[in-house]
Amino acid sequence: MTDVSFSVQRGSVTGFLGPNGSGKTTTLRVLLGLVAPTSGRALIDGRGYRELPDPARLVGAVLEPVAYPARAAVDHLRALALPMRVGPRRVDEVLDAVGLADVAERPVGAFSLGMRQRLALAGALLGDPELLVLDEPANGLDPEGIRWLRDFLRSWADEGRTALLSSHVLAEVTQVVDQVVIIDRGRVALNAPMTEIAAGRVTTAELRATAGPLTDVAQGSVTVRTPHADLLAELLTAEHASRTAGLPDRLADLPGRSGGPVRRVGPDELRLPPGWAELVGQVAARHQIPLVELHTREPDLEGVFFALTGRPASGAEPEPYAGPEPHGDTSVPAQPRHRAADR
Amino acid sequence: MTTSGPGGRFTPRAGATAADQAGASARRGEARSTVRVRRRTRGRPPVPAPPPRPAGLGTLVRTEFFKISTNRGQRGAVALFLLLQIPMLGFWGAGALPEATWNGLRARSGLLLGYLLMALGVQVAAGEFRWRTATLTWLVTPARHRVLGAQLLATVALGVALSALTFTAWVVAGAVRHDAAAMRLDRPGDLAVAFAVVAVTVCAAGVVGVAAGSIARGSSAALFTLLGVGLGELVGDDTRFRGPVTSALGVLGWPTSELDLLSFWAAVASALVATAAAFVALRRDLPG
Repeated sequence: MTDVSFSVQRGSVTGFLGPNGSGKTTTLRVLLGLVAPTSGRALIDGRGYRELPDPARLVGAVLEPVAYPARAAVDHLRALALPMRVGPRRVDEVLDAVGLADVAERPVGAFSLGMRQRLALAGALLGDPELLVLDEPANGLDPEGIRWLRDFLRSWADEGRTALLSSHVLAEVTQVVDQVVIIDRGRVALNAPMTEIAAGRVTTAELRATAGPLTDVAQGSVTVRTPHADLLAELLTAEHASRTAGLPDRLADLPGRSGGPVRRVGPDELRLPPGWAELVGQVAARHQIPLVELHTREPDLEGVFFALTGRPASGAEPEPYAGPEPHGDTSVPAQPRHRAADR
Repeated sequence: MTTSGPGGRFTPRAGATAADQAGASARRGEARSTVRVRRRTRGRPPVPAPPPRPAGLGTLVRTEFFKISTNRGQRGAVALFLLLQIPMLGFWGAGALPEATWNGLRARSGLLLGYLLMALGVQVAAGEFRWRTATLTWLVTPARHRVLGAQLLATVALGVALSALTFTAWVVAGAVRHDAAAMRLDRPGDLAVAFAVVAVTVCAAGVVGVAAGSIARGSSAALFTLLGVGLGELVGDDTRFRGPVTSALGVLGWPTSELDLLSFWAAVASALVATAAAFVALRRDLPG
């Protein structure tokens, strides 16, 4: 890590994102006093974790689901509860809260990874903390477990409590976080409120400064497929030119991007700036151009993430079309096609 | 799950109006009623808030005892040791003369126990790293030296308790075989010195084990190191019965009527030096 600096506001849920090996876990371990930084500091309520008088009452942390495997889950928690000086009743409460009450007497070694994650969360909740620090909490959880975790985090946030959770699985954080911090190669690449990212406002300001030219996924886009792609592209460019004639360049370019708003990305496919769907419909109807597909892709966190880290989504295929491409845009991550089916 | 429009996919709390939030909360409430109900029954101040202060050393020692008692291997080792004492009390030195029975007292009550406690100490300290639970322990008690102190104290307390048990058992066994005078019951000073030597040596061995486990951060590494160090000590004429591992043998292996003071002080000094080294070694990071 070279330069990681950010703060987490009380009462907010902050998503701490970055690809594997980007320094998320190390950052959290520095915050929790397990790793000493070579320089810099991490403070909670103005104090380092190891200076807190009774840290487990203020901060609950889930780093990795560790436990002595032959110990019963309830004993594992009691061993944590003793130095926290919370009673055995509290142990039963947290077991109940994470849904492990029925298997409390079973040895942890018999637990699935998902159950151990829940047990780890139970341990973090023992001291009834104000701040939760979760490192990859969704690891090993099945879809039901992920939904449970998301619901839990939402109710946690609704109670006005604070959480900092790291993840490389973006889907599970988009729905619960207020603030997004993305780190890549040991640096903070982005620190922005979720609302800004959702509204697409962050893309033009911070992103361009930090990540260079935007990809479509980060900004959002309209995809249109038609057998007459060349004709449609021509008509749309003309339409755009006529509508923006007389406007200053700065505005004319909006919501497009440098190099022109209409881009050919496949044999029958055009990629347009967000908000162009209606225009496409009108032009196509006027000129009787059949459309095979027309859909809008909203900007999303995943897009921001990959735009910043410059890495394609895992499992993403490269853009299949290698034909004539006026703007040479080959670095665009593949559009997940299944999303089109939602609309 | 994927809905069109940012308002559906994200939950913009910060920028939303109160009405938006109420509506959103209501919608969310339907979807996750179970979780909310659970947390409500939990109650908001479920834990009476004491003034924030670190847990006392007594609490930490109790925690270590709880961990030992709920650890199958450690609990089992102590139980097996105690069970083994029963046949040994019947057979070990059954035909010996009264003087030999007294001379065997220290070895019989302490030799096995000393090395058991050394191994147990290794497990107590290294087990936290072997199973990575040191992360949890240090999150609750970030003052690592207090955790190590508690482990040392728990091991010492266990050493004193088990020494008292075995020592008493062997004194009673000797008295039953011969008479009270054979076991110096008429000379409590001799008896007290013999017990003190056993207890101190056993505890010193346990402390060396805890320190080695804490420094090595792995039980096999610590155990094999101790084994290697012990064998090395036996080879050297000057180190035999004077090093951290074999000094216990030097004290406890000899007849009760003789005390190799050099071995005894070597055992005590080894425990102190190993403890100091372990406290220094605590500063190392605990990476993920």
